[in-house]
Amino acid sequence: MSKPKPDLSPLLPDDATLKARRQALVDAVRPGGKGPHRAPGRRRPSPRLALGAAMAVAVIAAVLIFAAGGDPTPTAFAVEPQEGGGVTIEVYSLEDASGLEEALEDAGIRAQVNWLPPGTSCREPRFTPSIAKLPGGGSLGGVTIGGPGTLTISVAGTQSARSGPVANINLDPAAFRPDQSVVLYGSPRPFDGDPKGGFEAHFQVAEGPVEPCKPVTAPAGSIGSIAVPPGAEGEAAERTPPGPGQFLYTKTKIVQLQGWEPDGRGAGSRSRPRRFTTNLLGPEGNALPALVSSSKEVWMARGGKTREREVLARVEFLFPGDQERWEAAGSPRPFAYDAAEHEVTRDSSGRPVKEYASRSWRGSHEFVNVDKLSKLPTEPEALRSAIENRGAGGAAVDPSPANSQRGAVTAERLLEILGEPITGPSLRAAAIGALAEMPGIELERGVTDAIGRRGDAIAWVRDRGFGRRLVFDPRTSDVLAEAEVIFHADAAEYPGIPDRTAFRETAYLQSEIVDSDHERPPNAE
Amino acid sequence: MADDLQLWERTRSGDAEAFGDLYERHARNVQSYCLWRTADLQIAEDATATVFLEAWRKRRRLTLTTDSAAPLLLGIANNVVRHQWRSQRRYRDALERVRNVGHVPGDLEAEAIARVDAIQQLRDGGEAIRKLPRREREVLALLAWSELSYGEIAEALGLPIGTVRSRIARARARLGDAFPDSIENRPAEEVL
Repeated sequence: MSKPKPDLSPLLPDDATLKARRQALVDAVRPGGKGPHRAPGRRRPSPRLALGAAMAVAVIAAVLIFAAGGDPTPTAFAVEPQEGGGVTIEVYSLEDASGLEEALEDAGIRAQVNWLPPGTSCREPRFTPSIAKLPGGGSLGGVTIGGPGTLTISVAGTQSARSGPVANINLDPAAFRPDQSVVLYGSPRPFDGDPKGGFEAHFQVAEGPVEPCKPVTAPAGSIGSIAVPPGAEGEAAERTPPGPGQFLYTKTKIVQLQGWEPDGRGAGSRSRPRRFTTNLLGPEGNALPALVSSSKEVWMARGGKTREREVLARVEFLFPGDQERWEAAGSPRPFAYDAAEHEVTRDSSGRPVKEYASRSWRGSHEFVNVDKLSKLPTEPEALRSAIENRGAGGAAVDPSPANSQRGAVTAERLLEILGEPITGPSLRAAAIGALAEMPGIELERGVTDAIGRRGDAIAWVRDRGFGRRLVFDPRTSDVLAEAEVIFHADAAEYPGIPDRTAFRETAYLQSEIVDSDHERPPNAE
Repeated sequence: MADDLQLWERTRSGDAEAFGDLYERHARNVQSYCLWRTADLQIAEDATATVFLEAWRKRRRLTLTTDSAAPLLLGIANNVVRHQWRSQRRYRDALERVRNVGHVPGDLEAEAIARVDAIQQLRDGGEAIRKLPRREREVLALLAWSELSYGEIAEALGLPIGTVRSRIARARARLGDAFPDSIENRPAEEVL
């Protein structure tokens, strides 16, 4: 029989080493660190191409999906010579755009390749579309490619494609005139529930010069790329960002749906299972659902550095019997406040407190949009046109449905404007108005937020019964709260949870500029 | 602290601290797996750092489909161990930095003896599995040494679950008595 498992602990890092290595790793991957860099393309020169004897073929076959884990191919692309001439470019990722461009040029095909942020494309027109005719015989000989439209390599997925390339591009330099070139661009797009799980790529043939790609219809989070129509003048931003040495203080209440599993396997590793976390709910979970409230204060410096303080408030089970059972078990704490896992102290009233330093995810770009926001139109339709880069003076276009590709980008960006800490009231009103006009966005009246304030809400039900809700005060257009909501529990596979339960809600209580990262505003609640 | 899904989402958007949290949570697990596969401490330590550097580089392409990041990381570890030299060449500078930090043991000799002892046990204990054909070895290593379930192994290696089952059945037939007790003794619901 096999021997018992040996104890590996002498071979594993102790806590101090683990922390030190973590820091070294974090430093290595930060911008400027000596961390991962792009995969160089694997090049296999094509002897046939070198002889210039290539024959027909140029067409695109595409299959796609980005597989989780198990990705056996660290290269961004590979160039394979084909029987009868030409090359197949196996594209594993368009992210290495310049590498792919070089590989195509090495194969004798001039190309411009761009990898863009989600939801963006290149501003048109930037070149004269053209047609290339594939020379020679064979099944693909004589086929034409290119033309005025774009050939879209769209998102799809099959099990068999999981470990293969995301696209195969078969090209032959003999198909192109010297003034012709290939234009390829792509960006991530939602696939299989993941907002960036797939990608969409476009292929075109150009003749003559190709201008550099100028991305348009930028994604949420890049308000700076919205085209401000000439003459549009909003108001000055209501609030200025913190000056040097100052901090933006915000106080929020956060309510999160979590599950407590008194028996069973728990989440996390087998050796240290977690019994009270968001991971235990859902289709396979049988945990008891509870709303876990905490209050959170954040002091954010101009450069995005933060000090944060969270206090656990209430744990309220959705069903009273569950509450009693949890209390009888000694009211075990949610994982985030488990003293065995995290540094948790108590405040003067005995409530668990966590304090830590962090960083806004936008880093030093936190307040970069102030100027742009102050210039945006404050009339709903003009604002939407600006966001969609339609420019002023064009014909009015009906809003796209929120669940269409274009509409989703517009809706995300309007929500982004509403989420900026410095957006003034009339811009907020315009953004709410523009959202409310979009098909697929519902207006809910008389909604109560996490601290009991009443307002109206913008509700956007997205895939599988999940969606977002933004509660606002209809008189002032102040945003009271934002939430991710389980609108339809069955579709979302949260059996037993009442429809319209917030999965996570953030209610905004206060936001002020203060002079130190320990100072609260004089009127702090 | 956030759960793996949240940490991975933040990692995908470029948050190095969230990535650090994932490292702290899973590094020992990944290193154990690499130790089993390689039976060499230095190689396993470098492979562990490489796994995380690979995860960071590919973060935008990788989706977490389970609550835990372990299957994803171990799937990468499987490839890193297989393509050790190629993977590590890419990260030479970063590996140097990670390698050169850590505590200095108080009792060097005792620690060295403990390590040699543990390596010897690893070599003996893992020999049968390391001799299996690659496909069976990869599946059985995750089952026996990292204690993933069949579903998690399927996720880690990007295989259909039926393939995982059949490879384990073949490994069982090949190993006979040498098939690890730790698997036989695990409750069925954990394995399935």
